[in-house]
Amino acid sequence: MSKKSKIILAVVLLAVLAAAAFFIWKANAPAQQAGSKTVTVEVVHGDGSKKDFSIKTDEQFLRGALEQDKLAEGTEGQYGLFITTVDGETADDSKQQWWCVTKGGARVNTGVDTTPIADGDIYEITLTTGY
Amino acid sequence: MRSPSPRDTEKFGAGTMAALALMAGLMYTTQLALSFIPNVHLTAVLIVLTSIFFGWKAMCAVLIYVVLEGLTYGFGVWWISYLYAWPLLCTAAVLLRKNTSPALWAVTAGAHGLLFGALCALPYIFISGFPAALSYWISGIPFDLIHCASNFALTLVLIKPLSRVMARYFIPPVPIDTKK
Repeated sequence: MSKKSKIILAVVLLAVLAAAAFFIWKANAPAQQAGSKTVTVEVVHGDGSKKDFSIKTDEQFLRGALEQDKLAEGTEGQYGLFITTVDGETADDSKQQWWCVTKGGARVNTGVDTTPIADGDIYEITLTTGY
Repeated sequence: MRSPSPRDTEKFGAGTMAALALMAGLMYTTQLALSFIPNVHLTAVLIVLTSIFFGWKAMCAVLIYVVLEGLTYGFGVWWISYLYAWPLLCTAAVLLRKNTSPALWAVTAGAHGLLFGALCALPYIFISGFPAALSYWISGIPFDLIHCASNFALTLVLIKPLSRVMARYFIPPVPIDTKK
């Protein structure tokens, strides 16, 4: 096989792998739900106190719902909104505090920008200490 | 001004050590400078370049870079994956360093970008189980695709000009093609 053929083969192989990865993602992506929905957000503050918020929204992702009710604020990071303040409490970087988002107790592996929400979803946002 | 004579990188002298530290600094600062664009950075092309010119000694620069990343962003679970993900690219580049085709280097860097999410998901197999690791990898695939495309394009465009600049100062252990 000539050097040129090897290069073409390598490029094609990479393109095939990228396309396969895309289809794996597409086939497993959580469905977005359009229209009105109600999601519940339980905020667990640094002192352990809990507060529930019921958000009625047309937004499709968690970020939109949180921002609609001005429940969370943050800074724009590489992967979207990096939450710094929830329900008026700001995570203290110097104490290694951060807001952990879970759904039914399980860690959400997507950022709030790409976490789709559906009617009846329950999320917990907990002020967590330690990286 | 006349350039100094190129140094032989076979020797692990002060010049080589300083150059490796500078390459680590470049990896780190360019990553910080481009951090506002998700998964677009020059780290991959710089690791390939360092591996071509310094062989296995490039691993020192890679490890300095990994430690600097941890000091900056915190030593979270993601950092554990950096301990093998970046050295893996360095290993691949050292093994392939007789290659003179920018396209093949671009494929190497692109493949590393595409696999990066899967590599970073490995610690989650032990922490949260295989399903959690799989879900972590799948949810990050869009970012892996950006990583793959940007690594491919940046390496394709930059590997030759950067090699030419490096060749003015260092003699690589394996002769490289720096012609335009």
